[in-house]
This record gives sequence, structure tokens and C-alpha cells, in this order.
Amino acid sequence: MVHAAARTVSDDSTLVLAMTKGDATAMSTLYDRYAPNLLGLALRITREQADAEEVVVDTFAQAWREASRFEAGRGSVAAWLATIARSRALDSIRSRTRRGRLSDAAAAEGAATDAPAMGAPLASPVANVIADEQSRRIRDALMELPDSQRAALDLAYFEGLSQSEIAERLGEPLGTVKTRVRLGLRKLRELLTALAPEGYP
Amino acid sequence: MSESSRHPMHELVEEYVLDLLDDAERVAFEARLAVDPALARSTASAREALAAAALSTPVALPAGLKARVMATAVDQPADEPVEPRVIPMQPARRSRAPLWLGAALAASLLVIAKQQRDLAREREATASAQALAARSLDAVTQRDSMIARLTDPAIELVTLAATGDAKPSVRVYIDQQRRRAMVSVASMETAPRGQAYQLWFFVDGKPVPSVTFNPGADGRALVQDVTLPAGTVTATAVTQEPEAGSQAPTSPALFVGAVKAGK
Repeated sequence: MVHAAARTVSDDSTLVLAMTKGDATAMSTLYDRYAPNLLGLALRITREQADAEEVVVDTFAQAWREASRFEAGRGSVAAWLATIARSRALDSIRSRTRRGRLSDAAAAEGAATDAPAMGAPLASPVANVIADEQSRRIRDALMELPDSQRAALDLAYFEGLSQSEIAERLGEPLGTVKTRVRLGLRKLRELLTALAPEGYP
Repeated sequence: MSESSRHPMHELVEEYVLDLLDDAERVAFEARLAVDPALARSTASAREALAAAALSTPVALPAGLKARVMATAVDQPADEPVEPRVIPMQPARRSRAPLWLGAALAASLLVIAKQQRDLAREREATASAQALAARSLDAVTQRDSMIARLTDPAIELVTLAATGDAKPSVRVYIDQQRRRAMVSVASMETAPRGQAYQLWFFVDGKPVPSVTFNPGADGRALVQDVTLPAGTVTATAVTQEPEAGSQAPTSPALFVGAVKAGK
């Protein structure tokens, strides 16, 4: 759904099932489908090419290892991979912070006022964004969100901040942040449901 | 809108998929998630939306990355599937003695001479006394062992919070090293006829069935040597289930608690 609208969810699930049986070709196909998207996500969170590539490696390693735990009834393969990648990417930046490689200035760079909004293309070393109609439409939908809601979602998803930390970062009351997060994601679901070609979950 | 879709947990879907809930909220949400299909659908939808947005910026892949991925991933062993299992609490002891044995025993008793009866009674009384002493010794040994285990610094005490108005307390002592747990319940009403309380451990956000139990007339129950399921246990919960236990929760969680060591 994310990278090619025509692909069905069952195709992906079949690949994951094959991975549980040690089928490396299935893994290779899954990589071809999702690695560009996962690297984009990892870059958005880590902001470093080397770290982002490591996240992609770790993501597929974990997917291979835990393929037997994937349940198609609980969500798509894309969502499963995105959840793994986000978690590994947040681990990466937290580890980097602990190692002291991330200066306060660099950390502050992640503030919502400076950070690219969710879905905005990155100016990265590999910012050669692949033309993909579905991805473009999703990004367009994201831009329909009010800036304040998108900023709250950005900080929660890409920086892994708690709602209290988001409130502090944005200088807004906690209740306001909670409302923005909730409304932002609900609005996003509505927008994506509207543009899904085969019925969005 | 259905009854289940009006459950307060539906208001927390967005925070849940963004990992914004605190421990107690997350555990309560996951306990509800396990028994509420509408909530599961809504959560999946929110997760899909978030993933679609997060994956909407594909970038060109550097040369060599695929080779690294394949070499790293495929060379490692895959996890074995997690098999849920039910561990019955204090399984009822069933006599394996065939009927003919009882009949033979009864017949033999009939031919015991009266003069032997008193001696038999004395022996029986002695055996009973010895058995009682052995049970007492076992109980003391078990209590000492339990005290030793509970005072071990490695033991994590998880106090399960009631999700409703229930007043009882449920505490689960978790020993991650030995993969064992103990459940202590107080002030809990006996479950209705044909029903029992069932303990669940959450692994990968999914409930894995564990022991069933029922408190006595004093409202107390103690279940020892409960085996932890494979995987990382992040939470535990109690539901009311059919007496034989369930493979998946059939009712909302009455009590939930997060396991810190599982994170």
C-alpha cells in the first residue's frame, strides 16, 4: 500500500510466511518493496546516513528473526516494518545521545519549528526521492493537517517524545498537546481512508 | 455505535499507537484490546495511517545496503514461534486405582480378624501422625523457601490495578531469572459457579494464558510456581473465565499491572 498501490496485503503476508521457512528470496523481495521507504523513515529520525542504514539492516534482521510472530490480522506488513524501524531508529538516537555524540545544539535542531514536517522530503545525501504516486498523495494528505497538529505528531512519532515533553518543547499546555495529537492522527486516518484505492483499514 | 466502541479506551487509540500512554494506561489498553474487536480494528487503522505517513518519503538506496541486510539477517537463526500454554493451578488429584482394587481391598478387610483390628488402627494412627508431621515439615520448608524467594532482590512485585470498582488486591511476584511467578490474592469474591479467575502474561502485546484460580471463603488465594511464558513479559492481567481456563480472554481484564523488568 505504501510503495505500490496495486500490491495486496496478502502478497506481503505470503512473503513473511515464506521467511519463517527460511526463504531468503522472500526476504529479498520484501527488501526491494520497502527498503526505500524504511530508509527514508530512518533518515527522518536519525538524521545521519550511516545510522539510518544501520537501522534498515537491524529492521530486516529483526523481521527475519521474528517473522513467526507476525500476525496478518493485526495489521499490514508495512505497518509492522515501520514499527520495527521506528523503534530501532529511536534506540539509535538515544544511544547516540548517551554516547555524547549528539550535542545540545544538534538535539535542539529537532525542535518542531525547525524540523521538516511529517512527510516532507529530506535534504539528505540520498535525497533523490523516488517518484511514487501513492507516496506523493500521502504526503499531500499530510500537508492538509494543520501545522500545529502535524508538529505534535512529528515530535511524538519521529522524536519519541512524551506528551509532557512535547508540551514543554512547544510551550503549550499539556491538554492542548493531547488534543492536537488525537485530532491530528484522527484527521490523518480520515484523509488516508479517503484516498485509499481499495478501502483503507 | 456498539457498546464496546463506547468503551473509554477508544479515546486512547491515538496515544497508544504513538507510545504516549503511561504504563498503567498502556496495560489497561492492551487488556481491553485483547477482548474488544472494535478497539482492535480502530487501533490497527490508526497504526496503518501512521505507518503510511511515516513511510511516505522513500529515498534512493545506497549500493551495498541490500548485501549487508541479507548477510546480517539471513545468517541468524529465526525465533521459534511462541506457544501459549495453560498451566492449571493445583490440578485435582485423580485416583488411578482400578475398581477391582477397591473391591479386593474391601474383601480383604472383611477377613481381618478382630484381634488384628486394634493393631491396624494403631498403625493407621501412627501413619497419620507421621504424615501430618511430614506435611507440617513440608509446609514450613515451603514457607521458608517462599520467604527466601520473596526477599530476593531479583524478585519484582507487580501490584495489579483494578480496572473497575473492584476492591480486591492482586499481587504477582515475578522471578525473571527462574522464569517463575507467584500470585497472591486478597479480599476477592469467589467466581460464579463454573467460572474461575485466570492470570495472563502479555508477551509482544498479546495475552498468553496462565493459571486459573479461585479464592477460598476468606477471599484469599495463593498460587505458587507459576511458569512464565517464553518471551519478554511486559504486563500481567486477571480476567474471569470458564473454570477450565481460556486460550484467549473472553472478558475484560479485572486487574492489570505492568512488569518493569520486561521493558
